[in-house]
Amino acid sequence: MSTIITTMFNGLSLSSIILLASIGLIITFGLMKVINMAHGEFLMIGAYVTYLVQLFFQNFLPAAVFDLYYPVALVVSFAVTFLLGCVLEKLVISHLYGREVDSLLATWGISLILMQLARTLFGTQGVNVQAPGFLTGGLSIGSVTFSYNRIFIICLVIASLIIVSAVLNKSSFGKQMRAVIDNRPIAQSMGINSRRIDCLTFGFGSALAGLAGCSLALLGSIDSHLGQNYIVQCFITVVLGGVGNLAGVVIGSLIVGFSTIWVQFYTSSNIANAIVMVIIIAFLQVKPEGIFSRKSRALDD
Amino acid sequence: MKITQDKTKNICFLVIAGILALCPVLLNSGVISSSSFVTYIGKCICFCIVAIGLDLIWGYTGILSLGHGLYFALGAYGMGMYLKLQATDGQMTDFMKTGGLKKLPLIWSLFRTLPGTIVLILVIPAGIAGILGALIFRNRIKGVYFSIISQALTWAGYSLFIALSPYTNGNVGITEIQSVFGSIRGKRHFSNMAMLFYVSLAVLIVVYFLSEKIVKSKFGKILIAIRDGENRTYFSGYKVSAYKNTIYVISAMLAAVAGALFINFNGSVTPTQMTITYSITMIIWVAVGGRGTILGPVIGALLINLCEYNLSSGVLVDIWQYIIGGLFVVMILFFKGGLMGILTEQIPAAIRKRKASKPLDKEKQELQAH
Amino acid sequence: MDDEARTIMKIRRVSVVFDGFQALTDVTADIPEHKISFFIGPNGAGKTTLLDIICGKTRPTQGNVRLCNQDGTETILTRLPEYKIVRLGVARKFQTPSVFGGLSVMDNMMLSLKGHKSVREALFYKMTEEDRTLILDTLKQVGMESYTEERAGALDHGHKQWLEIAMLLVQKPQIIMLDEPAAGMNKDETRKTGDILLAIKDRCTIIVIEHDMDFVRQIADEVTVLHEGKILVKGTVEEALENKEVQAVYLGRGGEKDA
Repeated sequence: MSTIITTMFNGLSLSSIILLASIGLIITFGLMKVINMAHGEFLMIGAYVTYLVQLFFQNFLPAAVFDLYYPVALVVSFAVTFLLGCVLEKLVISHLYGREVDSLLATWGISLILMQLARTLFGTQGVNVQAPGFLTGGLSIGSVTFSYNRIFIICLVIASLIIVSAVLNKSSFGKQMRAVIDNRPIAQSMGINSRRIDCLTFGFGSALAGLAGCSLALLGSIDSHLGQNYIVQCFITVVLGGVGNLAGVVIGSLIVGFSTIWVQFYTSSNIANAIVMVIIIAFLQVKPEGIFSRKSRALDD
Repeated sequence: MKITQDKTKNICFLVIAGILALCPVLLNSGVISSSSFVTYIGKCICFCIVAIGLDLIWGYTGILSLGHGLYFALGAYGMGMYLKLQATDGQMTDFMKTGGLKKLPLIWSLFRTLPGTIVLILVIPAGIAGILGALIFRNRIKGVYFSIISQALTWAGYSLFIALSPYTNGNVGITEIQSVFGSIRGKRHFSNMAMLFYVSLAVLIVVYFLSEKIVKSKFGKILIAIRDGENRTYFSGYKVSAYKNTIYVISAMLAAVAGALFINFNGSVTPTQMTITYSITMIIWVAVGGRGTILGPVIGALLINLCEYNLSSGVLVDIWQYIIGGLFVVMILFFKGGLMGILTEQIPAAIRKRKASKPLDKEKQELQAH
Repeated sequence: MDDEARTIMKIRRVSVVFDGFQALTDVTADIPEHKISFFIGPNGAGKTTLLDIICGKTRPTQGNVRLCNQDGTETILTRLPEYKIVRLGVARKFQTPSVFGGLSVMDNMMLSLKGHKSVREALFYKMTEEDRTLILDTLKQVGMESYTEERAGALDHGHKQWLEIAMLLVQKPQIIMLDEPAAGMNKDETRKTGDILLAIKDRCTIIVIEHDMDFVRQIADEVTVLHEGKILVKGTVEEALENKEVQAVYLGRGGEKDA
């Protein structure tokens, strides 16, 4: 019984991690139709920023406030990756709208640069982050332990979903964003500064990745390959859920997370990854638009 | 104009092939001192072959595969299994014993003979590509979705090969093997190395001219039509999925052949050859050289790998990553046609523009004089 | 309207619904052979959707389209994939010129020739003298015989349109469908297009969607007016344009359509 509960929890935890890493992708890939292969590196940057903030607190601030580093890190990761996302958009992405394949390739080049930057700054060895006090240990119910950091990630994901959904649907920024994506000329003729919206939108999507990276820092060591470990699963999850669909990605990540943990139970993590990928690819043959799709009049989209 | 362009391309290629052919000779006569450099050039020849294969699907047909490392590695592993069995005299390998296997696995025993190995190296990747292509192209999945799926597939392959370590030796891969002609290390085994080198070069030359023939035929024109206007090609009566499938399978087989030759030079194969990074690096060669030209990928593969060889020590290793990343971004943004595009289109266009504006300046001067 | 013309295509009760939007409702029409039939109507009336249905790009939610063969049998087009419909001789020209930009005019024409469409045939195809003559003759009909080595992507708008018409003609199709062929053309180019179509109509059947009323008057044999997915009126040009309902529909939309 306890194994089942632990497995379920692990599945939920993995799903939440994949979902957290993918939320930003919904905005850049799903809405803006930009393939940002450097998305994984934004995860990595968020994680490294967390490490740096922790170092700062460790070395320059009294031990009593050490635990505060984490909330600060969340904010700083968000801000740093937001800014970086905006810069990337201005320099590279803005030239590539409508050229999906090219955006994929160009951002891969950026990804190489960012990974090397990480190696130059932090070396090739992984660094570790010490979890803040309130997130160490776990909640024990009977014979099962739910580690706090994983619970935190699940909560963070839910909070992020709510915030993103609110921003997209309720805020004026969200409305402007959707207007520009839907029909740029009309949006421009209504006085919306589409260039600025593009920049902010992409920055927002990247910032969500930074936030995810901040949480990933709690789970293991951080090195330049952190992003690469997640990028494939993230993209496949977004495609599986039906590109551009928040609900779809949630379902998609639940499927990927749970099935990976379940298969892992019988085999190993690598085989689980392989099998889950193959199953998803097979599923996409049957339903190429993903789980939830928007039917459009165009033959190709 | 077009015919001379083709002739020029072919001549360029033959010049390059000629230079490559000189390398073992120069090694023998002492002009080149390092035999490992010539081995590296041999690897580059293999890279040229897979690059041509990628150009056929990407440059000409518009199919961006980010997972061709899978086929390259399958070819390498296939040949590796044969070579390993040669080294262990048909017996089980150490990693199989460590992995708890009781006897040589069935799949390995298929690679006991060279003819059998060559057949399997072609058939297995072709089969996988054929199935994948049949499913994906029939569903009209295209563009980035195909790219993402090809990535996922190679990642799955990578995970699988690491996981099945009793069969594949996991992360370490197949090592401690000699090439198909025997050891190629050092001056002692120069004749083996030379044979391997010239066989690979011959394969490259055949692949180049075969590919040229394909792209010049009606079939090749249809590929270009598919790239430029897939719907229009449907409405012209062509079963687009059949064409895509055919060229995808051909390209997979070329990658496998390249991989099979590669392991002879490299002496080993690891799952790293199956990673996304490796696959996209191949795309970078094609993009930099110039996609859609057959010659461009050859140039790109040689140029980039030669630079990497020279910059492979010390501080320069780090800088190389920045250079290649930056180069790639710049190429995609501004030089879509790669080096070939710069040489054959952008520079002539710039010269034409300057020539065209000159008479206007003259007219202006004359008007001002009056 | 004279009815000695054989019906070459029957459109029967075709309805199309997109995500709740009713694009076409119960459309029934007979297309006469060797005539130029126009479908006109305000934007959104469903004209392009109708062409999409016939050529196989979209499937109807109800109804079917049948090709009437010479031997009296009928082939149901709405069940077939696009490339098979093309091979049956139903050719379509899209609204925006869609030639193969990366290939020469000659290559564009060569790809459009009937036959040799399978992969194996395409690998070993060599152009015969017969094919070359056919291509040059067809190019002559649209006035482009000197353009053979030009890159199609470098042609101007009018020439791209004529190339596309030539690409359809070289297939010797039974039916040619054109979606706003006069769009983006000046008066002379439009007239030339009309002359080309008049010259070929005895060899095939032509269906045209158009807004330009001069063009309609120049060449139409019969006109069907669509409005909001339904057929309003069918008849000669005069009959259609003098019809009160048609005038209301056009006037209600803000005036004359032939600007």
